[in-house]
Amino acid sequence: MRTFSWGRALMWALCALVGAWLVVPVLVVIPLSFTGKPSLKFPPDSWSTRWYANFFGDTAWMSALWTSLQVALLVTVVATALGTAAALGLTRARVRGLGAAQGTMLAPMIVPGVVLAIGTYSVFLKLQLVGSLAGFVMAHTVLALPFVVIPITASLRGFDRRLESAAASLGAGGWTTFRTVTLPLVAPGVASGALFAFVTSFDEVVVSLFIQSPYLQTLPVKMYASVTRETDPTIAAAASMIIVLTTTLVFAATFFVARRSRVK
Amino acid sequence: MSSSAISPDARPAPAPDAGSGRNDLAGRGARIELTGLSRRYGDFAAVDDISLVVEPGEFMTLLGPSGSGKTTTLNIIAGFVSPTAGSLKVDGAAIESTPAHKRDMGVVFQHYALFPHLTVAENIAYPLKRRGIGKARRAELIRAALDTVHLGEYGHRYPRELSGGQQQRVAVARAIVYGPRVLLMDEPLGALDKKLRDWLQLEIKRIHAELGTTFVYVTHDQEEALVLSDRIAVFNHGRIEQVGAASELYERPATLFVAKFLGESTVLRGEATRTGDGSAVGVCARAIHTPGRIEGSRAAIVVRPERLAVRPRDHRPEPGWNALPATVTGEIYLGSSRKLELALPDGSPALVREQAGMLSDTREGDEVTLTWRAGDSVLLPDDPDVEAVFT
Repeated sequence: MRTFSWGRALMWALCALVGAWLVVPVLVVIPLSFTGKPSLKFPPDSWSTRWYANFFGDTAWMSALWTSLQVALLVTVVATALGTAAALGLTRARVRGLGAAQGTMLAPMIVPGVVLAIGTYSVFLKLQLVGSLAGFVMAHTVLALPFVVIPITASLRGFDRRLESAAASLGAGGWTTFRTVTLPLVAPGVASGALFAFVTSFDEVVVSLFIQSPYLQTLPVKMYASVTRETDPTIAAAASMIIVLTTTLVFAATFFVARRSRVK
Repeated sequence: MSSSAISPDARPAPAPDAGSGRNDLAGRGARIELTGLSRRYGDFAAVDDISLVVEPGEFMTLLGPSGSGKTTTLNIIAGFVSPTAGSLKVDGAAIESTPAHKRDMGVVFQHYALFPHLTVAENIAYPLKRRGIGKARRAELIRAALDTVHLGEYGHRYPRELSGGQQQRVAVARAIVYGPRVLLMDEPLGALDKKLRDWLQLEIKRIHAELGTTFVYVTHDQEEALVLSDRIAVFNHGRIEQVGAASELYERPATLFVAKFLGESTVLRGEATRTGDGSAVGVCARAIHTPGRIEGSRAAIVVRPERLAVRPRDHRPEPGWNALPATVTGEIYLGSSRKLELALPDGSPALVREQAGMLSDTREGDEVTLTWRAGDSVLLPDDPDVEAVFT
């Protein structure tokens, strides 16, 4: 039995307000993408799906989407592999300077994006990586790495290393132990790291703006260009699809992890 | 047993083939030889120059208080810790530099260390897969291992669905399924309650008898060591104080530490002088006789409680018997026996155990005479450090 309390009601009201504050600006984009008029007026007066048709019909938008997906998937693979290795080193190595190594690796989270972007740009100019797929993957991997290292490090710290001794006693060498015991048990951490890597790369704007070229643009860069040059609701369609894609990914991952931990 | 019949640690009836003595996983045990083995961490010696031979098929227990080096020794044998000095041989072959996964020993850990993401059968299959054993043969071996630990119907369960005792039996099955010639166990029953522990001790003893594998077992529980072992190595401060069968350690302890660690005893301290047929030790202004002799004069006489008898104060000791006046300070009735706690004139404690049916009518507060055969006095060099460990 719960009795009504003013304190509880106030708390709920406050939570609802904060939630709305966070979500509403994002959700406004979705009705906006179905507007019938070529303006970003809210609320729309008429409805249509023409901006979606425009998005999928325009080669510039489609190639930006394709580039973004390519970069994000490559970053996911590279950052997850590197981040897992780094997390293993950070949790297990017995050398001096681990704290400094960890700090360096997490720096991209703290250093302002513009600073990082300018540095990356000047180095990439010299190495002729501006506007290249490899350049995007490298730059985004640096940005994604902290988001991979953090959850995997947390998983590894909670991992019972006696299981590795047990595996060794049963005849498993180092790599086999990692593959058959350690990795399956820290998989939820690795999966959430991979997810963060994908999302980090997929919606990165600042660094991408610097290292883009007219021939190779990611979706957020194309959106930024679009919103600065023309007020075309195609951007709202693109944004809506990004929202749907990323929330679906996150929900799917949460569901997957919850199910796994119930099985375990 | 159906899978729905969940009866945690229901004691299964002995398997029909128990007694035939033949187990599909039986093999020959290996001989283990430790020589001058040490493990130092900076200035601290966790294991300090120990030498020990474990015979093929023997059940050797490493017994000692926590921090005495017994687990480190086990970890050196398993290959989890490398020795800083000394040699380790299995069947004559030096293996100090062989990595753990190539030593082919079974290890059972205190906290089971079952793989939580694998079922019981998959856990037991793990070492078989590492050895490239085919699926059909794997199934046979898994069955044999599960039968050995009486968990035949539990193959499809996950470890978390089993009780502690069942998990530990799965851990044993996993460690014996590939027929290792050495089985190492690190306080495997330490996390279980007393009743379950007593029963699993007997199970371990049975499995040892069935398999013929060499067992090295670490425990701090002296009772467990007595129940299980062929021989016991008593550890203290990284060294081995004495190695021997349980009766040997109990009746003829080599050091005061062993006497105090294994079983109960009364310790009488004093100056020893040599006599014609042994030594005499001055205790409470009386001469206590013993057939033993030691170097030096600071001596301790150890007498087991069942060797002591309580007599009236005016009792005259027969020749060849020792006697000391004492006051009864407490009595503990244990059913099959009774323990009497006494105080000697100098205040030091003494302990007497009387078997049921042979109880004296002594009561708390009585002034009595404590007597025992001179031959039951074990003479040892006094070791002042020992008190610190036990009090």
